Amino acid sequence: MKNSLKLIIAVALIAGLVFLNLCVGSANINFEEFWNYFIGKSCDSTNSFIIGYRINSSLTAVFAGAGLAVAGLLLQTLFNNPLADPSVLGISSGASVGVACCLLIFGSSQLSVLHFTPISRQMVVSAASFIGTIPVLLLLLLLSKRTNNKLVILITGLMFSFINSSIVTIVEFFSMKESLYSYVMWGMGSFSNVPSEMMTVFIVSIAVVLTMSFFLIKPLNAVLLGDNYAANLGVNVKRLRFFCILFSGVIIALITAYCGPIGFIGLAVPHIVRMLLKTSDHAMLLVACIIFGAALSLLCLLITRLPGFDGALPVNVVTAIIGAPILIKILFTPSIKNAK
Amino acid sequence: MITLKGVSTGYKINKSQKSCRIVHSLPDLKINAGEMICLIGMNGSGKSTLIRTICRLQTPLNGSVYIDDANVNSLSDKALSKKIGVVLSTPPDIDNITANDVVAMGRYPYTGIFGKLNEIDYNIVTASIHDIGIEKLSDKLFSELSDGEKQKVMIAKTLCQQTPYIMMDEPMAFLDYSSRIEMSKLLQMLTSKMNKAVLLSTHNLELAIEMADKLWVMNTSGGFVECTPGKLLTSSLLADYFGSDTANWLTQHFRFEK
Repeated sequence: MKNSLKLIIAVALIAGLVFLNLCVGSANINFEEFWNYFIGKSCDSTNSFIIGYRINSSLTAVFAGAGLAVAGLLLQTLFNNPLADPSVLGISSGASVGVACCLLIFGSSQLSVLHFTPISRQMVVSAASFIGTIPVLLLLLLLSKRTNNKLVILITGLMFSFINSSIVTIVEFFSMKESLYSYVMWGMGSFSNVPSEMMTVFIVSIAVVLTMSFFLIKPLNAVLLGDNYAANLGVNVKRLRFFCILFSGVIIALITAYCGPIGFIGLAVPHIVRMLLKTSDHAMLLVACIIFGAALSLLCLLITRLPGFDGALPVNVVTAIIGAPILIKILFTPSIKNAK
Repeated sequence: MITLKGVSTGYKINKSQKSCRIVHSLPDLKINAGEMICLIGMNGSGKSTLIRTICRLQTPLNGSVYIDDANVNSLSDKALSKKIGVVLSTPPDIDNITANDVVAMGRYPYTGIFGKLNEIDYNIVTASIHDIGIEKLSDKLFSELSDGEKQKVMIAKTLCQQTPYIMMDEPMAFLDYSSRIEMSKLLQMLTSKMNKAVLLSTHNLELAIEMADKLWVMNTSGGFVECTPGKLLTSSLLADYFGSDTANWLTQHFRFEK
């Protein structure tokens, strides 16, 4: 089967998943209501709220999934390490520190987040999370300029994760029960927390970074030969590294700010895509990561709100439970070529 | 012409204290077009370090490398990549890519921002594959080739890069006997017919002496000599540079004492 055909099928899959995500949920909404909503006719206000909510979370899932998959791809190629994913650079752990600190400060004073309206509370948490990622990202970019050894950067990122998780533990130790609960909930991840006011910002900023990452296709392909061969072909390896960390860092910071630390998609999707498409051309891989990343996270979103779960299953639970078996299945499925 | 002026190769140990380990302080050297220079010396004598320095993969501790009278440091990445092509001692490790596509990577300096190949590029790729004689491999996956085959693919890649200068770090280490002969003929074709300059490091003294115009001989204690193959055999150089307590070179008999 040709790769472009596989991509078209995957796009169709996305459309189907979006449709299912709109229909499935604890509230039953019939087709007529949807139709009224989309043509702008007034409909029942509860229903229109629910439809709006489902559209928002589907859109969030599409862009978060695409972004995380691309971030994972950039990091895996850059570090030439199949285990690299958005969590390895310690950027999402920076977000955790931001959120934990925010909940401690607001949780222990008069300004308790619990008194906030849900939306402004979500905005505060997102802001704290984003601010938390910035120092980690800046430090990483600074240090990556000082060394030639990419393993050093990888280990530095891991060390940031350890430092950050210690800080989080300290903060948790001094936190109140309510703040702890909020933190744990944030850590479970959700595609439904982007306030509709922020939706455009979220989508546009991720779309911009995704578009810019297309300019890395050529050097990413060359760096597959190793840093030395790439440098001999005219790739500025340090500059490539800077942009890969910058792009994936910004993507991770944005997504973690709004959705919490979503695990696994960034690790699994690039592998799934490479196995399915049997290519290492980043033009194809990048497009495919966007499409399959969106599809996988939509699938996960759908499962979190299958009837019976009451729309409450955290995303992080599902991504690994669904994603890991898919990945293992693909890894162990002998291809026609290998079977010969 | 590549010129080395007062170059010292080596490694900086500590950036702030400027302490460094000099591997070789070299005399002024030249690599002319159409010339085949073999770099010989024992393990750890700094052959790769010199090759890496000339290719600007590492900076010299002193002095500068000039290509056609331009200091390599003044050249852009792209300009340099059209001057010097390199073949490293170990082939890369890539999955899901055909040998043909690896060869096509050599067109990198010539393609646009998204790296699309045009018809001219494709023709050059095909011609390079033909020159190296790896047509049979071109549709195979790179990861399924043997090390020797991979190295041939990398040489084709470098040919595809169309550089006047080619640096090779032990390109024949993985090749079998007949491939080695084939390769040496091919390299001679590069220098004599295509007027490329080739600098290659090798442990195969026999082949080096047979095909080189000049030899650069290095030892592990910083010694460096430029000479012709004939001179190497008739002087005491081999004894000085390759002999050791256990391997004693007999100049009269052209062999090591057993």
